[in-house]
Amino acid sequence: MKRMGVAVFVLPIFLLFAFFFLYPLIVLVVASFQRGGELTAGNYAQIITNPQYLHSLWNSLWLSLSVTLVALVLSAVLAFFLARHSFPGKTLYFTLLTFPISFPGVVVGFMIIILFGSTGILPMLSELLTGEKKLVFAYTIAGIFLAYLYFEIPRIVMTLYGAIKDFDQTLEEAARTIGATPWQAIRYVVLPTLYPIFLSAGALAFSTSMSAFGTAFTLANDFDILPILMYNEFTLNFNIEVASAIAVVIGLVCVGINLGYRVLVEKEGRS
Amino acid sequence: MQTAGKALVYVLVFLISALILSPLLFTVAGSFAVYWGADMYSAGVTLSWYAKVFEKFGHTIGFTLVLAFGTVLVNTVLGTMAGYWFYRWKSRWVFVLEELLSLPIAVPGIAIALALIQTYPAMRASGALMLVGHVIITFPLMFRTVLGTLRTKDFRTLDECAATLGAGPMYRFFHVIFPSIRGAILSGAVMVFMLSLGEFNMNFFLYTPLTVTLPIGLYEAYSTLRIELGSAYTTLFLAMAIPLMYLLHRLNQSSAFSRNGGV
Repeated sequence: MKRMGVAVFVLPIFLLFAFFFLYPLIVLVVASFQRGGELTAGNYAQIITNPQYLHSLWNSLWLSLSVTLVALVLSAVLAFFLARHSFPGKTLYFTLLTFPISFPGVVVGFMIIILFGSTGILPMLSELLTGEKKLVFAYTIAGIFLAYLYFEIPRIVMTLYGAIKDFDQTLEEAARTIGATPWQAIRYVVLPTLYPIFLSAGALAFSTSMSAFGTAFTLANDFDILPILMYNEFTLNFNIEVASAIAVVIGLVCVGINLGYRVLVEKEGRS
Repeated sequence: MQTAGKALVYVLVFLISALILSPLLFTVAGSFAVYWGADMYSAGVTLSWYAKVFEKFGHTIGFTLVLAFGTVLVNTVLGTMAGYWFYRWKSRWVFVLEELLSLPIAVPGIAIALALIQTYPAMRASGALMLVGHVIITFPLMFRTVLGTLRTKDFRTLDECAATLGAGPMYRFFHVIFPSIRGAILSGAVMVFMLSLGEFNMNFFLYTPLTVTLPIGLYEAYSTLRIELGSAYTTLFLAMAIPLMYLLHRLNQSSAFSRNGGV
């Protein structure tokens, strides 16, 4: 009776997860292995053999990887700057800088349209200064790259800032007193200690970019990346089986990255 | 050499800040302009874009608020109950089940949406499927916040103390545990609300003309209407999100929140 009384607390969420999370995911995986009622791995093979699909897979991977690396470097600079300087209004500044973590992808896309769209601020400025409208690249790969940086930087800064602030600064100072330059102190003392947090931020950034849909869709709804390909297969071509296979690939990459870095960090912690 | 390094840092910090903050500034500024252009206010200042937003998209704001409050309500109940149970439960399965209930953080929203829509197409029209989807993807935020708080403090002693005095599980939950985790529930509720408010990817698969949410409305405005109207609509979203984000910073939860949600 006592055990029953407590099980009531958790039964509703387990039922909800079973019916509306686990079972639908199984349905998704089963659908991804079907074509016209037959069991096949053809939907997955198509991702490799169809040039447009392969191109999307490739674009998604290198876009996510390059955005992650650039965003990590820029966020580290910003996080170190914020952790090591104090100035009036810093809390407000920090709040505003990290505010975009609450934006849906569409709003991130719109921010880039405001800056580099056909009536964006910088194109208008260039027209004013040179008489020629330049810098309209919101709807290209460059615009998408900047948009991804826009949502990644605040997220990474948020993760790094706390760790950098908590880092024992006396270690860094000790390095400085024995003659290290500020850069050397960061390179040989701070970074080796903090690298797990960089790894964790990078893993999160990569999977966020891999599964990002709204941002790129707002800028260019035919751009070849996996999430947009999946949406178009589903709505334009009514090809739910191929769409499911693409969703499974995106899901596996994201869950795999998530598990992978945790295993890596734990292994490092033991040795 | 050192001065050059410092200068580079300042330039980078300035450029990143400009990238992030300047479009926000221009969005708000542009939403009040009669005409968006290099000479922003030459044609005057107006509130008519806001009037148009309310006229065309007012219902999306109402629907989004109903959806977000519904999601918060369901998850406050389910997340608190589950957190309490996990905290009391001792078994090697706890770890596995905890990971399972946290899985919606790692699985992309578009994959969950595609799975839901092909499994329960009949639930789409009423908006029920969207509510369930929001509950699933925001659940880990409430659950982990509550469970984390319960584990950091020694509520077990209090709980057992009440138990020896003859209090049943329900009574103990509402009179011993609940008052101590109110702060965690508030944090969880704000995060769940924020995530539901800004969810686009899942909604884009699940919405119907009768269940258009604010982010979906934004997408329509951006792709078909004038930039001034898009700015006004975006400013309304910002006006809802800024106070909540400020609250999250005050509650020290913005870092936990930043690890959730797709874009």
